[in-house]
Amino acid sequence: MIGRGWRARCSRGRAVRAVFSLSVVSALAIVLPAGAGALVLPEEEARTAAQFWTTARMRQARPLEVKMPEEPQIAFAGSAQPTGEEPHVYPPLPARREATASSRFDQVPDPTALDLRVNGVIFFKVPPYGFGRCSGTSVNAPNHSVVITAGHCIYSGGPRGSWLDFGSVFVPAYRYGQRPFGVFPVRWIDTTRQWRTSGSENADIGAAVVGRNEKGQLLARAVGGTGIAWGLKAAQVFDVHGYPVEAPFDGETQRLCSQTPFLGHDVDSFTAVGPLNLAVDCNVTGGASGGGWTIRDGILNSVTDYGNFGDSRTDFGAYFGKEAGRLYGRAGRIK
Amino acid sequence: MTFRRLLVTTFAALCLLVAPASSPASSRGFESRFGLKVGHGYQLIVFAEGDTIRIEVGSPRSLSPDNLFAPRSLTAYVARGTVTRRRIAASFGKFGRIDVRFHQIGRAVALPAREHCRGPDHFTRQEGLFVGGIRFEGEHRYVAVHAPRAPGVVFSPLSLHCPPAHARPATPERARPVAPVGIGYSHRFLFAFWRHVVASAHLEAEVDRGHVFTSAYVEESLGQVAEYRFALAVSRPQVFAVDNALTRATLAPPAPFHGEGTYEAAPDGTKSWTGSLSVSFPGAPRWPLTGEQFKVSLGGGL
Repeated sequence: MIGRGWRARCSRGRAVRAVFSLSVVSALAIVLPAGAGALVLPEEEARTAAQFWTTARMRQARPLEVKMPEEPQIAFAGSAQPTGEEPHVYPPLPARREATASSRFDQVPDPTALDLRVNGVIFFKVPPYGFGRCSGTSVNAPNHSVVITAGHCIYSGGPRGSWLDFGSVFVPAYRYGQRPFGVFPVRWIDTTRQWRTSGSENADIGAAVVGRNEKGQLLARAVGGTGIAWGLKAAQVFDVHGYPVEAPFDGETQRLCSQTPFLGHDVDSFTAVGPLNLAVDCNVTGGASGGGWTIRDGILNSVTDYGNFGDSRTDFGAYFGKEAGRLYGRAGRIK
Repeated sequence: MTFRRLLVTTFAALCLLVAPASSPASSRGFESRFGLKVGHGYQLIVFAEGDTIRIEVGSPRSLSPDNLFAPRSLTAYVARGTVTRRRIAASFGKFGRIDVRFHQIGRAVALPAREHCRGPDHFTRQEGLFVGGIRFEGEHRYVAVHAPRAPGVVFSPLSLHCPPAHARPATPERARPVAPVGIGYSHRFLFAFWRHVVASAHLEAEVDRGHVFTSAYVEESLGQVAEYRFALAVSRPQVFAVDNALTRATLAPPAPFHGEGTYEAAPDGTKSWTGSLSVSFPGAPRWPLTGEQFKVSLGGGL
């Protein structure tokens, strides 16, 4: 993915982050007014997108973020308190497996396994630079067609942001160019309102509604969908999924940090709009943006958003609060 | 960049980091503020804006925006809470809790109006008394406050949009070369930092035009509270000695810093940053600024 993808950031980095955002703004042609609602893509465009994404093009897609230096693993004992949000939980479609604890972003043995096929790659064009990519998760929804990802994989963020709407597709269970469940063209995208209006990383959550694959299947009918929850306490234990591209990874395999606990909130999230975000120990790199964080029973409860300079082992994700719930609701109602 | 500008930039950077991010509605927002003298030479100022409450602790000189050349050391505690024009309420966990209501005294004072504004054209200052519970205890009780009231003010709006009448839109970049601004003088700098999970520390020293500017910035998230610490010293150039090959440097800035740090770069490219250099923040005396956990770089040039 590009610009504000899963990216390194320094703590004094508001200026740095601003530069990243600008690069996205200049790279994209379509600029909508602040607070504009969801973007509906023409049906024909969605269909051609699925044909456009050949294996070769998928392999060319790169995250365009700053690379992270290697850092030793450091443990940290965080604390957490209830958030005061009303908890909402929607159940998943398929059954889940038991995970073993690991903060290494390990390759999963079989991305087509029942509980892993919901995770995939979002590919999109970034004219004139080439092809970008993010990670995403199929979520159980009334229309069986919702993918949850990071907001910056959908919209570059802030009042002058831009939609990343160029020929996007979702490929669940992607592996070495294989598309075992086909390609699902994106036909509707949206983010939290706070991500669009303020660009606050606390609200960096996005959603896409995809069309049918080449076999005419709806996404959740083909691969299932995770449950989703918002308003829960921050202190959860997460399975972090994603398709990291930057070293030491190559983007060709699905990765998993299993049973990694909440460690605390990023200091910068205290002074930004939206609920305090979440930190976990997981060595993700660029391309893992938007990858799902699931809790017990395979419930989606966050997505990968960013990392910081000097600490390649910590992954930050947005807290799923009311705004995340509203976004999911809007996406699930799209016919 | 002149030395004074460097100082202003750094102090402004601190304010930017600690202050809540401005929202689109900032022109309609407000900031509440009250202060207390808390003993041991410290002052405590509470700022509230949006849903963020910030407690800054330091000497009156450290908290003052005046005299940027003065040494300073301050600690800020930030938490989310309830902020309205009438109420400030937030829990600072183990550090305490603030829950006060604003009782205005007299009428609001309109500050001088600006010209060419879009929206409001002046700030308003309402003085009053914050009444309720103010309980704050810093680490190891370096400050302890239990107060039922404090005088304060409510400023509004948060910002004005009043561009100068002669302001013009930015012109396109020109093809001819333009001399870059801010270079053309010799300087040396050392930068050291570490970060893990939700904590980080930065040290910067820069010699420029006869002065050494040393600053330390430390931040940490502790559950529902974020802590920011900042220290600054301006001193004579002798405190920062650097060899011409940029392979060795020593840094021994004055208070609030203590001790000396030594940078060494070996021929094989390995770097070390060792010594007794530390800094005293409110609530965190002798905070270490050297060691293996720091990534360090030394530079210099035009």
